[in-house]
Amino acid sequence: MNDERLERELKGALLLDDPGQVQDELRFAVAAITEAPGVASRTARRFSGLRMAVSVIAVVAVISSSLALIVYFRGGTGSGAASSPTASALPSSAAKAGWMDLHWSKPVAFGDATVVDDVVSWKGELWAVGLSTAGRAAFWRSADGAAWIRVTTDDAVFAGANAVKLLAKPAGLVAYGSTAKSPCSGPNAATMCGPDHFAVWTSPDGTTWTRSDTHVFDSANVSSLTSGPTGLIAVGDLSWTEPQIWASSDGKTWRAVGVADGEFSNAHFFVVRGWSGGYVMGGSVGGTEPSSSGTLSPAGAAAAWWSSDGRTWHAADVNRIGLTGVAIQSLHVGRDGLLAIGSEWGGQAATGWWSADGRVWQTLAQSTIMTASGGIIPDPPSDTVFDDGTRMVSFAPDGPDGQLEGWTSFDGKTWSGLSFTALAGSSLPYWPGNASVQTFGKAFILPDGLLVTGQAPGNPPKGLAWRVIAS
Amino acid sequence: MPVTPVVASTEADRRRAFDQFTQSRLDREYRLAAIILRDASEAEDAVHDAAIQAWLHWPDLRDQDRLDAWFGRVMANECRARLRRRKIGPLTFSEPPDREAPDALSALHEREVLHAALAGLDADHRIAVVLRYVADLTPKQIAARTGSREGTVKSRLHYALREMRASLDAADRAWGGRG
Repeated sequence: MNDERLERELKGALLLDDPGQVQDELRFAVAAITEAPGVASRTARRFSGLRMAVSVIAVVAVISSSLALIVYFRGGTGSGAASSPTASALPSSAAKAGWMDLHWSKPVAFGDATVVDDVVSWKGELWAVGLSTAGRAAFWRSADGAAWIRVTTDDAVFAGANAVKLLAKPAGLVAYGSTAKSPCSGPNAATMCGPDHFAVWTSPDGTTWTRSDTHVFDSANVSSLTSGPTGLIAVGDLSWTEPQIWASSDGKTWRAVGVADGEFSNAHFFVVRGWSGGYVMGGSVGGTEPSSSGTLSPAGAAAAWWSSDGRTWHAADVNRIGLTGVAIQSLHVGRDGLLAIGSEWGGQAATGWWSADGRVWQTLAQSTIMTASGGIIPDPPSDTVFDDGTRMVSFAPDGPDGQLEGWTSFDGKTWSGLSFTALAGSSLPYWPGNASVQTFGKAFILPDGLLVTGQAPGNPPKGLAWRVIAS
Repeated sequence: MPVTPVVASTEADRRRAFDQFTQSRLDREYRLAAIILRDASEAEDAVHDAAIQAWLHWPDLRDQDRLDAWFGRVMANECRARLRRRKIGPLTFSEPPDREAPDALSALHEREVLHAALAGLDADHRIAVVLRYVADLTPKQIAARTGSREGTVKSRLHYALREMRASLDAADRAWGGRG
């Protein structure tokens, strides 16, 4: 055997011990080092973890699972926010790589909510925003995901407004949505409407809210807002031919970011997403302006852009072979890659792309994206894929009766099916469409599983929440 | 924009910089540690303990360019300490099949022989071999990582290759003797 072959065989022999990628448990444990007041070696933690496991088994025998959840949530800071560095504080047992079964708790009333639009983890609690049964923008908080308390806010701040998204920042919460001002005005108000009037609110404590100065958004159509490494970024346009990006460090003050013609010729921004590598943005280029009646014209081509800092943007390389009239409408971040989902104008066929870094996007096999988007093309597609910056989860109806099925993925390319177990007293939600049953709304990924929101039938419908523990 | 220790002035910046640094290197260091230690679970412990060391010394690290080498050395020391605490078992060779082996089977057997022979190397030699043939580091880079002289690294690699070849020759003789 010559030296070259010996070295090749040697490498092959060494790689027999290659374990592949690092497991989530270690990733979280390392991230937790800076959070712990006194860091202990992993070997020592493993021993104490064994003792703790014995204790937990004894405790679980006599204490209900809901009480255990309370203990868990109060003990850790938790994090459901995308790419949150505070994910480090999560218990390592919750960071296991494989989810195979989802254990659904009994659904609980979501306070006085009728719709829950968003849930984030902040300062050891879950915070939610949505619409109360009285039709007002409202916030709720929960220590365990099972009991939800309405947060008292100054009604004048949100009078007539819709707050639909929450972002958890170290300095406080940021909410955004639209003001009460009608987007339909002028002599053609019955048929011609402009965009909703965008609004942002900030709060240091979740209770005291202040509406931000958003004059830079006047007359703008803001389609997406995200938090990333250098702050908040919003995207949209001032008109069909004027794409626009806005930036803010704190959500309180906003400024327009210069949009260079070269990178954004005929661009239309639909979605932006922050992740550990910076920001990615999706949309389309070309096409003709859709009419306000909703009749959508043949669009241009899917397009994406990337930025390290939210200020300087570059066009990404998007594979568009065989695709026309498709725009990227949702972006998801997993541990092992980014997933973009687009659909034709009119939403008859979904297309998916995968990227390692947001700079080059490869189309996914149709079978992959059919799973990721649940086999149907909702509007928008993001309604079926949820992520926390590490894991992606997708839900969809399994057949015409609307029973749910679900999948999970770390990269958006490879999805594995999830089986469901209904715990005592639980009844699973159905896919929206049947007004007489409790229905699925959204899923929010937690360290040990999910918080699933939905609605119970009624007039108005009542908000529901399921705690779902993964194993 | 990545935060470097040099510009990290606040506690939050320091945490973010540490997080960015360690998370971007976890996969590589974990895989190398697992191959060196031949134990994925122990490799996780080694990486975690090395990261703790890095965090404890983070305030002292001012030179961004040397961070990689420094962390690599911490990792190498962790692995070396763990290997030295272990009792290294004797070299073992799997029995060749009781029939004439086709080429593919022969190649597989060779790899198994090398795999077993590698387990018999002492800590410093095994680390040098893994860094050279898995991480593709040069002897100079390995020297920086292990705190050794470049000549020492070259000597370790030479010795290790000689051992591997000897192991294969012994296995070949065993194959030939079966006929």
